[in-house]
Amino acid sequence: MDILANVGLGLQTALEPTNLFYCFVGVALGTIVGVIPGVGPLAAIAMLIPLTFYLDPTAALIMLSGIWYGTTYGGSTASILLNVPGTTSAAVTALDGYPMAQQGRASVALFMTAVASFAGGSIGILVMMFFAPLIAQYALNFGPAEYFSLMLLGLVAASSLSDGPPAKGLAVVALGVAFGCIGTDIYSGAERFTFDTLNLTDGLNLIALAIGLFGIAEIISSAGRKEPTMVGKESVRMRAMIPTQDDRRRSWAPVLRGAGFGSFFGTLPGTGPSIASFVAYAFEKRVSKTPERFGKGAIEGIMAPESANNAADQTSFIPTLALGIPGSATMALMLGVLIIHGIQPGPTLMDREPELFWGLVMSFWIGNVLLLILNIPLVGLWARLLLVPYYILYPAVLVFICIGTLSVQQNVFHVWTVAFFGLLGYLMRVLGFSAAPLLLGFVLGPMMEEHFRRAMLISAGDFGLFFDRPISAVVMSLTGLLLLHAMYRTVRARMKRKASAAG
Amino acid sequence: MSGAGTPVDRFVPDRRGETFWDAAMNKPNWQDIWGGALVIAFGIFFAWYAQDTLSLGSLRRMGAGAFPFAVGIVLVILGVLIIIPALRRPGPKLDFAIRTPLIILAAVCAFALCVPRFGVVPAIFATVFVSSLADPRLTALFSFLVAASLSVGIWLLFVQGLNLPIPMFDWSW
Amino acid sequence: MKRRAILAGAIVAMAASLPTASMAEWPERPIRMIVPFGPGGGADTLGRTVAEPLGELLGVEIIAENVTGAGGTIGVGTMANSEADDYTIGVINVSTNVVAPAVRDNLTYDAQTSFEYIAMLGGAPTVIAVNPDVGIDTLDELVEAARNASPPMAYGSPGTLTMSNLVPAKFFADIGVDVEHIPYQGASAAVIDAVAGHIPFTGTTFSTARPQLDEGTLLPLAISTPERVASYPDVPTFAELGHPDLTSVTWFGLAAPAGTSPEVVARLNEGVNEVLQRPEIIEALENQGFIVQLMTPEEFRAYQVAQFELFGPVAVEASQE
Repeated sequence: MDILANVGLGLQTALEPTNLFYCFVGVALGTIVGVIPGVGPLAAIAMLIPLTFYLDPTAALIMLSGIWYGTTYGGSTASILLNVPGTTSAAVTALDGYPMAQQGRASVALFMTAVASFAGGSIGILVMMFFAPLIAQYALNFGPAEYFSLMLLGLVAASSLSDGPPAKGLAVVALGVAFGCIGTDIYSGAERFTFDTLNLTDGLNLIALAIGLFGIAEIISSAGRKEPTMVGKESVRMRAMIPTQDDRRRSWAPVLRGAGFGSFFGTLPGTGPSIASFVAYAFEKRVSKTPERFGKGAIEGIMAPESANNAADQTSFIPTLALGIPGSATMALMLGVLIIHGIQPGPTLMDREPELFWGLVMSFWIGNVLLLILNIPLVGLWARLLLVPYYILYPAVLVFICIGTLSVQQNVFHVWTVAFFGLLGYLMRVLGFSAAPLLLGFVLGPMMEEHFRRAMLISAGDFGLFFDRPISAVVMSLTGLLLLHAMYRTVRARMKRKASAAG
Repeated sequence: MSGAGTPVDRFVPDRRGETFWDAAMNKPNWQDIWGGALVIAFGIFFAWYAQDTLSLGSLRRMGAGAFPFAVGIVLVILGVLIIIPALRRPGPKLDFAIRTPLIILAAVCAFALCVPRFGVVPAIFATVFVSSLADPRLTALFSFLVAASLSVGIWLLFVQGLNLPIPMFDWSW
Repeated sequence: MKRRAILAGAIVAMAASLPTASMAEWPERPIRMIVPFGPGGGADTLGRTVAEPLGELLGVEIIAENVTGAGGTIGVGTMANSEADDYTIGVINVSTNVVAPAVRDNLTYDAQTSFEYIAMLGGAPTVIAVNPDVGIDTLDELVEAARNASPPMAYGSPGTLTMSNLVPAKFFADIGVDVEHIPYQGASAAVIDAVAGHIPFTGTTFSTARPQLDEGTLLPLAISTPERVASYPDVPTFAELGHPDLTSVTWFGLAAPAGTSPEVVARLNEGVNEVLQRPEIIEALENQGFIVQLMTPEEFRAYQVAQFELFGPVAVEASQE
């Protein structure tokens, strides 16, 4: 079989000592950078870009992609332990990861996210190996109408993340969409809600928004607490890392489904890991027989999104390598590295540079194994962080939050953003709004607007576009079904409540 | 989020000595009334500001203001939908603090104020000292030690390790 | 500089061996280069590709510092408002120094008075490329099709006010044909929608569309360089098709805050132009889609003024759509 020969070639390339070394450098740096909220893969990759001029392109790409998926491994750490997510997908993991940490199950959560990341990443790699050219062709069918329909599906799914009245969940999503409007309008170039400051012309910074909303709000709620530490000593022993049988039983299906969502969304340029993890989480909550456990430390709630975002990390290489279309700023950097070395990405890349392509794919696998080996011993170490008395921990976390957001663009304005969203996050807690859907609204809102307006320009104002095109029509009907299901659930819950109140 | 305590959330660990919502039920649901009112107020402002400063355009060529305007209207509608049922339903008591939020936010603002003027190390000290007001166990000596070790750690990690151009002490930028 | 003069006594022996007394002192410490765009992007790699050999040539390190935001205007503003200490330079480009000054009134600098223009580096040309299924082979056929289309034909671009928007916009405005502009976020997004047939044609930076042009999934109709590009000799320029104004590229250059000493500007220009003539640098830049252009500081300033007059009104028009 052809693929076997390719895998052999890939393994041979990836296992060359230099490539192995740079793979390790990449994933190790990625893990470190991922743990610090705010810094993110872009900063680390940018730091190493000058070095890549001197490397063989395969080694350079292996190292940079190691950082890319390595940060995703590390990214869940701060969100599980401290509720300080540095990325959108980490915010989803925090929904159940942080409650697990508070219940003294931080070690399990960290261990299991590493496992989920590995499984999701592996599935993503398999998808990439077998279907890359096919998917690249298929992705071309996604025009503005299809994207808009998908975004709508994502938002409707996100609004069901929270308990309580659906209107509150939707209001939070809409609030996120509203904040997403801030900045330069990509169609007219008009500055919207910037109040004439240059700092707002690029819009609000996602990392600053997420860290303020979750991290600062959490510190406000927890500072001055009576118990000095969050958990007891027994919860950080090595043994505490082992998941219970119940955990394992509950985990495998969400991992598989998450990887499916991740692999799918990863391939669409521009959407990627954040939507994948939100949709995977929302889906698990919907299919669960016990949705009320979500948000209170349900293991499914960390397994699905972690598996999804790692799978998406891997499959997002498909459009980048196979079409030459970067799905994110980080991917654009990687393309840049190829181009600097005189390699043109495009559909023929796999044939022209089989060593590079298959070596890279196989290095992903090796990198994922390395990450697993690297991260599991670290679990105990990270969990020990919770033994530090909180009154010492919270000023330190505050400082790291500030430095992290400052380092995003060396712009102090983002630190002000953190303060603003810290206040908003606390206010939302007081008023019983769950903050997570705001993030998705913030990410999806601008894309929805972009594709909606583009679709209207192309179709000259005809709404039929969304229902004439087959893929779009299917997605639209899925959204409709989801809404109907939500309504059915609300009505049923109300009837049950009435019945129990009467009885 | 976790511990954020949505109204139906009975399982939040009682770690901050919170009262369970059953014990603190109030009628009407002031939490949602305030929440809805703020959503409405924000929606009105947003929609008004959008149509005031930006063009709405046509459906085919939507203006920069069209989408924000629609979002504002949606917010107002959702706000109303939050308030109406809340008028007849019991809800948890509004439970909020003033001092701790102010201190923590002031600590972040202190950082933002200090960095461009004095650099990162003074900003770290300012943040730690301001935030120490939120917990009496964090004495001046303790704060000093925390701030000093953070400064060294951050210098090692961000400047030496990650090579980020962060000015540790005042520098024109 | 004056403060440093005290030190000069200590290195007088060294200074004596150097050509001129005033230039002997410069450069004696690393030069700060502000890059107003994110690491790894076009401006960044371009800046760094030139900075390293330039530093070697001058004998000091040139430290690139990314100050990003607001389409590059924050970083350029930071540079313009830095002290003119002869050790601060920065990357500027067509959008920070031609387009933004035309359409924005909240800039912290003035494109004419806030800078010493040092040297042009080069630029990425714009190409108009059409989906082959549309059945259009030449620019004339495109004009014909667009003239008869109702509703107006739509074209993509990497974004409002990018050169790949302004060049087609000026082209169609000059000949009086109404077309619908659809901005994307980045050239690759526009290219892919043109390849997929969601839009019939697009303006794009040449380098982004290269893989598609090579495979024939996109057909180039015209390119905005003064002369044909060596690697694509079949693609005609706008100039030879009768539009000499459309020889504009997404250019990048080096500048320093106003007040930087003329000797330093001259020395830097000399250095840059020497570096830009090295074959390996030309090749590296061409790989990234940049066509090298050499200018003196005076030529560079005059070029900026001319570009502003040519594209300022088009930009204002495009931003009010």
